[in-house]
Amino acid sequence: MCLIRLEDINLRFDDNIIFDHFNLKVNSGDKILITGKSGRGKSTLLSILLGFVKADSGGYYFNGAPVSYPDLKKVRLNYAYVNQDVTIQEGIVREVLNRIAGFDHNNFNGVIDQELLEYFEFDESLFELHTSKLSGGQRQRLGLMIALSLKRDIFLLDEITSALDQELKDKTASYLANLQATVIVVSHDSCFLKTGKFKEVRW
Amino acid sequence: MEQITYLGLFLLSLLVIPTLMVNRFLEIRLNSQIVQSMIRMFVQLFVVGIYLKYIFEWDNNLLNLAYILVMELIATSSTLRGIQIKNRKLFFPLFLTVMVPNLALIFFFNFILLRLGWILPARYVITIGGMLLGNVLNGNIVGLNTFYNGIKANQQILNYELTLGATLFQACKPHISNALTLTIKPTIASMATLGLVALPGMMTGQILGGALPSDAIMYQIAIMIAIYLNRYFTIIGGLGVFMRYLFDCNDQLV
Repeated sequence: MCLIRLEDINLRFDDNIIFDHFNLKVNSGDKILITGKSGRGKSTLLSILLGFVKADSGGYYFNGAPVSYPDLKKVRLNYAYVNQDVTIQEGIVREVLNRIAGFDHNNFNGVIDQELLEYFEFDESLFELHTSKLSGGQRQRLGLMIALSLKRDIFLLDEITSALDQELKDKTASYLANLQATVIVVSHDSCFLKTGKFKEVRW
Repeated sequence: MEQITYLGLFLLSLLVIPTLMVNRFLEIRLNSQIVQSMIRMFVQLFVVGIYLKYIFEWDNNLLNLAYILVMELIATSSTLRGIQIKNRKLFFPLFLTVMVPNLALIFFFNFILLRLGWILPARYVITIGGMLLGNVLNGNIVGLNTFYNGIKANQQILNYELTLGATLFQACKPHISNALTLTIKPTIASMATLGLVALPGMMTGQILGGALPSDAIMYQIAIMIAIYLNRYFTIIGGLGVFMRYLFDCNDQLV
């Protein structure tokens, strides 16, 4: 069943054409990898889905229903999103998790499952560190684990493996490939295609 | 009170000339600004002196209230100029956030501290109201700028938190706290050092005017608490106005 559909999207920033009659169809459970040169607006695609960027024209359908601008706030909460820099609020990791747990619109209790911590090789001692002390790879794994803990049905993941070593890249890709959920990944890494489950959309 | 003569002011002003010469020697390009500012000060205060003379002579309740309202309008437009956001929708709600706490405190002074009832004498209402407003203005500009710039610089964090399930208020809360803190901190700090380093302005003025120091301190304490309250409630209101008017229905900055 068609979960997300973008139809004839056009968007330009000044003279820079980001989308020119762009179409995208995502079915429930799809695993989609978006590749292409940097700086061409791959992240903008995720921003459009989340309602942070408004297309100049075109249609956006979620679960078959057209999404109007005021609906975006609700639609947004179907997505578990991680952005390139994992822009969590800076602070002690445990406190950051508690802060997120305090938000109204999630069921996260501030605790990341042991299973996830082990799989993504994230040592519990890191919870006591300040976020600025985390390496790029640790930050990306933290972002992903938070997203997974939200238990949402659709993942929008923007370059979340760029700072991981090869082994972790492969583990991350195969974890996501085997989820029931719908997964849309923006990445330059080959690990996702290697799983054989991701469908590539070239930009 | 002994009178200061024009000649006296003129002689005092002459003492500024050596500082202009030093500036010139050090190539500090401030001289024209210094001269301009001094001229503006003379002109503005002389004008104020003239119309205050009439307002104090007539001393009419409605006129005094109108005068306060005009000062509040000016304070609001100065705030808006200070935060450099071009949005006309902000003016009236921000005016309310300036006016309501200010008038409430003026009435508190008038009814409860000074026990004057419905008589609103210019020499209390205008001086106290003006003193509060002058203080509110700085705090408001600092606070609203802090909030707006904080949101603008951290939009990615804010948006990310919205996707994590934060309400707009929850995502903005760190910036609200930060803005509020910066607004009230100077007032708290000056309360703590009051009288140690220098005699505060209001008290100095009253003592010069012939009041007993023991009476003057009561006024000074009252005005400090009132300044704190006025700054606090005006910035809270201002931040509320910003939350309401600067974001669209999808919690995006407009």
